[in-house]
Amino acid sequence: MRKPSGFKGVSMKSGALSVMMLLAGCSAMGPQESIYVPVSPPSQASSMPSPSTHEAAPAKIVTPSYRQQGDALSPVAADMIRQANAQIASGDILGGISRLERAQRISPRAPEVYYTMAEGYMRQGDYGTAEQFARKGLSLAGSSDRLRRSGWLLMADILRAQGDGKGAQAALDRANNF
Amino acid sequence: MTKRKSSRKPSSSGSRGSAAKSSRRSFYWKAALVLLVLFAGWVAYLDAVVTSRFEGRRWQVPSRVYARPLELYNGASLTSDGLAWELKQVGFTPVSSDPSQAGQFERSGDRFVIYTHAFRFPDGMEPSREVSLAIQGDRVAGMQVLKGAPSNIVRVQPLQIGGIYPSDNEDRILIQLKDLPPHLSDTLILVEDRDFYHHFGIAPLSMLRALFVDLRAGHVVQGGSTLTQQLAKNLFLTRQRTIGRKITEAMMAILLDFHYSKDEILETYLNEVYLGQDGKRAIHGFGLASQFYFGQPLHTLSLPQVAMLVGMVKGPTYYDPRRHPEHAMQRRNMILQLLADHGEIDAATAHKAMAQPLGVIQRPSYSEDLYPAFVDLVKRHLSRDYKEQDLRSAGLRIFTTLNPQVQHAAEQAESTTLARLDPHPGKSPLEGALVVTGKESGEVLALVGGRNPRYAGFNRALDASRQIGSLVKPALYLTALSHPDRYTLITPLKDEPFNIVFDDGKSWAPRNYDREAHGEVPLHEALAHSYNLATVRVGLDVGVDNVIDTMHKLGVKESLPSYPAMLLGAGTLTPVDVTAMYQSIAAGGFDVPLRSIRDVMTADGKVLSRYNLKVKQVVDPRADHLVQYAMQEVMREGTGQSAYRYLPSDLSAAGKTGTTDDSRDSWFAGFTGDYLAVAWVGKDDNAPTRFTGATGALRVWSDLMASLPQHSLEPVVPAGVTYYWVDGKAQALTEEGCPGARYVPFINGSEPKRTVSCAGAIGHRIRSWFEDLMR
Repeated sequence: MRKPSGFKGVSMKSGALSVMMLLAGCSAMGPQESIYVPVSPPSQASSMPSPSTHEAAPAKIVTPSYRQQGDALSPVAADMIRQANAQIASGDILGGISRLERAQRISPRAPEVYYTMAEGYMRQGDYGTAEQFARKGLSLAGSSDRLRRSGWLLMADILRAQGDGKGAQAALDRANNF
Repeated sequence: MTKRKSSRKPSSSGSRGSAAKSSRRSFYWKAALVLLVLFAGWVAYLDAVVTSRFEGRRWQVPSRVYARPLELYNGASLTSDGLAWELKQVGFTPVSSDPSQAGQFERSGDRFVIYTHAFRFPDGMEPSREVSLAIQGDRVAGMQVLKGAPSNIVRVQPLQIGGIYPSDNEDRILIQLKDLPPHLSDTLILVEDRDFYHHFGIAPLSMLRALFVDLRAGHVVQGGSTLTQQLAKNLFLTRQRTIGRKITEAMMAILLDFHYSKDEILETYLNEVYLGQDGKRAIHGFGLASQFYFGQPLHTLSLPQVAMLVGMVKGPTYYDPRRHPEHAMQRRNMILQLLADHGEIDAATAHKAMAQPLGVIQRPSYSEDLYPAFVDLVKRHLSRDYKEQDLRSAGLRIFTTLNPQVQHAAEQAESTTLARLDPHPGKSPLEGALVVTGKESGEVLALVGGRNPRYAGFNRALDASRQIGSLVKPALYLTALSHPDRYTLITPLKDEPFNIVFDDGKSWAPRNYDREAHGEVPLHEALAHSYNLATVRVGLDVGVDNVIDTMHKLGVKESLPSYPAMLLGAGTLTPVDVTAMYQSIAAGGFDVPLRSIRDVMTADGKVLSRYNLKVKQVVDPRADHLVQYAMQEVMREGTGQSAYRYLPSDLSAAGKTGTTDDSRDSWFAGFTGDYLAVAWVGKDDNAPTRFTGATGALRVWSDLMASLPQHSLEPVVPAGVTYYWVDGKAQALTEEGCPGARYVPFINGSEPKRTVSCAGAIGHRIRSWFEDLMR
């Protein structure tokens, strides 16, 4: 009894969630894209200083890079997510997931893509897969409170749908931290 | 027999002569009856053969294997040359003015106008569109749809990269009469069988005429066969030219004509007729011939193109437009003249058509075995879910993950680097393998199985099981860093010699590659410089079985030996196994199963299988982030730094070198923001080489990465990880700008608790006090 009713409430909430995320993702305030490096012409490449192997030149050392947030969702991927959501809502879940995979290839480092996939699999009743996609999205949410909150709310929904009330409550508590 | 028959009627009245006559007559009657029965039996047999072959599935249609489609949208990563190259591969014709039909594109510098074909993908029909776009900084910009349904993303029809053929190697693209271009059926009938719509399967007068010509010439000159007879011959008979076969063929033609309509026979003929050869692959039917010679769908062919193809029916070898363009041209123009003579076209049209070049594409848009190593992987994958017979005959469409541009770059990197490393290959040449995947998708984008990528032999990427050497280390340190209470990136490790004595009395003394010990080193440096002594100590501390367990979690399916030498990579894996393991590290601790196929679809568009993206968190993403930090250090300061002789310095990457004893194996596994690539270099007979991971495989890897526009690696800091400025020697937090300070990530709670400062005298004093203490 609990599962289906929880599930119903969940999908509605998630639907609202993705729209909210997308709108925010499209705004200019969102995170940036990873650094894009075009292919340098051969002349440039050969004139590049070769890295020193001596410890005497520590100034040249480039420290490992990282970023605090996932990539911004590309507008094309955002459109695709919108279309996929419509497909999923109309019952064509497999078609929607296929479209989301196209979006994932375009914006593979944007958490929104993975959250929407999690929602798709949840609609299909495949909670295990949904949970993994939610985790993947969360791993890319970085320091963004908005995306972390969305992710943990989603996780709470998935865990509740699986019948894990305790886990769902814990996820909800985490969401409410942001 | 006659005697017995006559003796049965001894009492018959009348003369003996009349008795004999009547018995002879009766014999003839009976003999005729027997012959008639035999003939009827033969006809019934032929009828069964004809109808059973003709009904139902008339042909075994091969399965087609496609590369991933090129997707055009603003921001898509693409070079101008790469775009032009792939369009040509797919069969597009470059034109110098606005493209007027699908299958053409115009390039002026970095600006393109592309007229795409409609194409049926597993998720629906992609309509034909004309788009204009520019390439700026290796990305698509300002894309506009000029003709066709508006869209911000456009898919180009995919390159066919393979086929899975019936045992007779016949290939065809089935067409229907409604798909024909103007003039095709008229021209064919005019040239091959003018009475097609009026005869009953055979044309006795033509046959007699042909017989007369043949008798005068003393050998077979004219066939005199109707289209129906030609079809019967092609469908049911061998190519021998004997009288018996000719009679069977005529009978079958009559039966075909009796059972089926003229249009059915014509359609079948158009699909059956043999029109060329591509290696082992036999080109059958006008549908495939149109693609094979002109790189365009049949219905788009112009009059001279139609005339050329019809001309080829008479002799596909003699009139082969690639090998004998002059024969093909002569025959085509003869046919155009014939059309004009019979009033099918006017003289002006004929002259204009005759003035056209043949317009045959240089090489067929699809030729077999372009990517044998990748197609091998796809076939192995398919064999898990499909029966061989279905693959060979059911006309399936297999949509794969191969990225032709990445594959091209990978092949170039492999062959040019190996030619440089081993310019005079002897009996045991230097060989290699290269696997490239999408970092977050697990899609296999390119696969090279040897130094000659066209050679469909030993597929080293899948089958060369070799010792992995130091490629094991990231998994080992990942195991250690998953215990933040015991290990952090700055944990000091002893890189000093030691000896392990086993129960059986044997001992093992690991060594560093440079045969030197480096004293106390922080963990990140031990990985960056691939120090063996420090690594084995950590490995023994966390447990060999736990390291193996981590490798299995990361995606290694093979069993691995559970002894200490395993900590330095004594276990063997294939390049693709290594890729699976590094995929999970690259994807932030999520196992992303490698995929070579996206979908399998039937010829009429029904999706049979989808191979979806799957992710599964298998190791602690926080520990994985720390390992990625150290693997980036490999590239900037450690054993992989020579990569930056080729790579732009703003392209961050993470990786690990691997070298086995006597340099028998040279490995490099590494990833950027977009791609993961694993390269192996060595000899098939496992003989020593001169190359380490850095001087062999890394050069292949760097050469590849330097030729791909892509995103720099910038791992997202996962929740629960914080970066601090630390003084490694002091094992303490410090400030930016202090000598020896590094900005290092820690799993929360494992960062040093003490702080040192380099700003004031107190800080200095504390530091030297610490330094004394550590000494």
